[in-house]
Amino acid sequence: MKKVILFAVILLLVFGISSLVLSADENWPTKPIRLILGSGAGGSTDMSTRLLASILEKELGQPIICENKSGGTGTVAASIAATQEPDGYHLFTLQTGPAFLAAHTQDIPFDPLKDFTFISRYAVWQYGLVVQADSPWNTFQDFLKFAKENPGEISYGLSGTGSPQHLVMERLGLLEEIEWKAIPFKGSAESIPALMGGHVNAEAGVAKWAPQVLSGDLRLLVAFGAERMKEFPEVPTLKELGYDIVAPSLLSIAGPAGIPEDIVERLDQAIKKAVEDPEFIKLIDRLRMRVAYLDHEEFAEHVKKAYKEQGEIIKKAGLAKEE
Amino acid sequence: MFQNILEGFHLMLTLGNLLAVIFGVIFGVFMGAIPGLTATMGIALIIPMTYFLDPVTAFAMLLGAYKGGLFGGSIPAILINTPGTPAAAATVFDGYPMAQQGKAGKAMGIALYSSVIADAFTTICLIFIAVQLAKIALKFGPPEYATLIIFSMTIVASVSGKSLIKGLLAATVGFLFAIVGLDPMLSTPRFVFGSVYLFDGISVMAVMIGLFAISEVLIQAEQKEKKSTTYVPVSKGGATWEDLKSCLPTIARGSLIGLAIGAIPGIGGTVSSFLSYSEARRVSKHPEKFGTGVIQGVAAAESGNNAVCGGTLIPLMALGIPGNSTTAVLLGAFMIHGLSPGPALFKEHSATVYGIFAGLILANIVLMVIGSLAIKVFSPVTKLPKSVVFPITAILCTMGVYGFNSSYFELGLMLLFGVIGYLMRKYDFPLAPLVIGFVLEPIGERAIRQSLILSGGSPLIFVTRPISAFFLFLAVVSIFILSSAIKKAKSLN
Repeated sequence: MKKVILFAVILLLVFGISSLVLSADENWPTKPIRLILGSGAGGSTDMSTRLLASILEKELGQPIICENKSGGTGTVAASIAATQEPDGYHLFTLQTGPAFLAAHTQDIPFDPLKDFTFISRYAVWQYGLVVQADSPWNTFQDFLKFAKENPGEISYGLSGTGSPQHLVMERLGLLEEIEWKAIPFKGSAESIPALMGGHVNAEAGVAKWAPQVLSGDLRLLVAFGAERMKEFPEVPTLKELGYDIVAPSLLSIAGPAGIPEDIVERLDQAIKKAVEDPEFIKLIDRLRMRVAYLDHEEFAEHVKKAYKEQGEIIKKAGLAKEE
Repeated sequence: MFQNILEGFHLMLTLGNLLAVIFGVIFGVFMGAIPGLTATMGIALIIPMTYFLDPVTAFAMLLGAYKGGLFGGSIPAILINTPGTPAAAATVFDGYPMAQQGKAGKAMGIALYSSVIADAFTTICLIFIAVQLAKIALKFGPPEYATLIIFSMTIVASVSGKSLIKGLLAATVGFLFAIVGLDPMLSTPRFVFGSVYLFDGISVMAVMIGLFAISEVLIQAEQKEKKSTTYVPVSKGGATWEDLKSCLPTIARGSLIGLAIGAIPGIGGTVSSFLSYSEARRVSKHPEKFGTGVIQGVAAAESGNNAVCGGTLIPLMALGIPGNSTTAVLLGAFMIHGLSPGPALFKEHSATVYGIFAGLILANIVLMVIGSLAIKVFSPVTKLPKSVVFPITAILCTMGVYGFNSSYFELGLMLLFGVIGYLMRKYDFPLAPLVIGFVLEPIGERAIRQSLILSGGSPLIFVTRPISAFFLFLAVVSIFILSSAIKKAKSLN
């Protein structure tokens, strides 16, 4: 009898607690979810997120309305999202800039560590350093050696001061005491032709150079990611070459701070499933990004760590905003 | 080569592909004709539809939309003084005055013919000499961009109207507005007043639509009318063979300028159509009439912007480099289909490449047909009373600018520039130089600063490189010619 009563009490407790927790919004989602995209229509970020959203729709049973709010490489989207209702119906794509970098270099109306609920990271960009295929540098070491021996001679194109690829190059420069000239372009669509035309000696950027590397016009010297690229398995990463440097990169779903735990949990589960969808993996491969899922806890940890790390690098590189 | 193209047509000419091209062109014209919406957006919108299509069909549709959008922008430019896309801004100068003289049909007709001819020319160049042209385009580094932009500043003189001083002032104001946003070299915010919405600068769409369309609505709203009159005298028919013949040299020049500007990444259709317009005015026997409804003005602007379509496809197909935002979106579409544009594409997917080329030619023909229909559909606008046309214009502009980036902030900017445009027109300041200053400043500033980093601060880099020196020489010659023309005009008075 005692056992039965004990069992009944436990049963009651379990149900009671779980119903308390679920009462936040038991049936979420009951209406369409709005997802703010931090980039313009038609770009790689836009395309990958829209496909992710369409898979999530099936998973969650509610339409997801994607809205493009481009500006400041995702900063505009993040600052809008920071002020929205944390009800699980307002989400956005949190990207590298607003999560790790912008707060150190610019005055922005949000604090990436306090103002967001982190849901999941689903992909990262792949970065690397490329040179002309007929240049004398066959390996990254060749290139470094030349740059060291000829201070101020090497110029490299990139898109944007303070971008992940710029921070990687600045760190390398500080470590190896190299003077090279960073030439910021409006995007890889301008920095890659500048390299092909020989106006700069190298280009540091996202894998938009892959077609030219495949066609034999350019040579990839080193990858800035945590792993070698699928398409260029013979090219080493900086880590393998003995530098503890990985380009910060982030494509993720987040929301305003304070989204109830169980909604986060459910969203995270749905995204986890979605990133395993073969259609999604195929698209990410073709866009030359890498699927890199992190659950909400790992993701929150990752942001904290990377935010601090990048802040220090930005300060050292002399790119921090004036306090 | 011809064998390949014939095979391309064989691949292209199916009912499904034809329908795809027709749909693409209609959609493009529609997107172009709505102020604020552009071909780029149209393409981005239909890319998801093409996920499951064969690549040739997909690109037939997307490229149809690109061409349609470039022409579509001229329709509201001519009918309601509103460039449908930024590239159609120069079409406004003579297109709208023509419409007010009852020649809207003629203006739209010549816009269509110029668009189709320029487009056909650049498509042929793309097919036969893309690789060679792309190699020349690669010779353009920061110093060449810088001096090309310095030379392009001389356009200000041709669109300043009566007073060069007022034109230069307006251009300076355009420069100042263009400075707002993140510094191109340092990424530090400039004049953003704490607003992240200004990080990417002031939206060119809000500037164009505010300056031209909203100011026109304000000016029309001022006019007191006893009874509702028709908006403009009813059109007296379309463009004739005579009209076209008188425009052919202009179209030829516009096509060449568009081809060259398109092939150099990052400059774009707006600059190209302004350059073409300015060149047409320079060679004209009656330059003073430009801006009052000269048919060559419309032909110059429209050939200049449509030629950019083939032009921007040159670096895309030959090197895999997108020359403007539209081709950047197209590059994304190629990637989705697992194709990498560039030399490898010609080797590995030559059938697809020639299928796409055939699609470009087909889209050119379809544009001619759909364009003529569009002119018929939109012409009745001229019969509507002003009291109907302008409120609708205001609504369309609001929808379009909001739709562009779903941003209320940009709507505010549009209104602000509407008021600025209104005041400028009241005090007889020309609008075009402001637009030119605004469009050229970012490209020029970045290129000059890049060049100076490369040269370690020495301005000699601009004269020691041949192409760069050539543009500087052109700029000096233009200024010399202009100033002697002004002196002559003064002594005649």
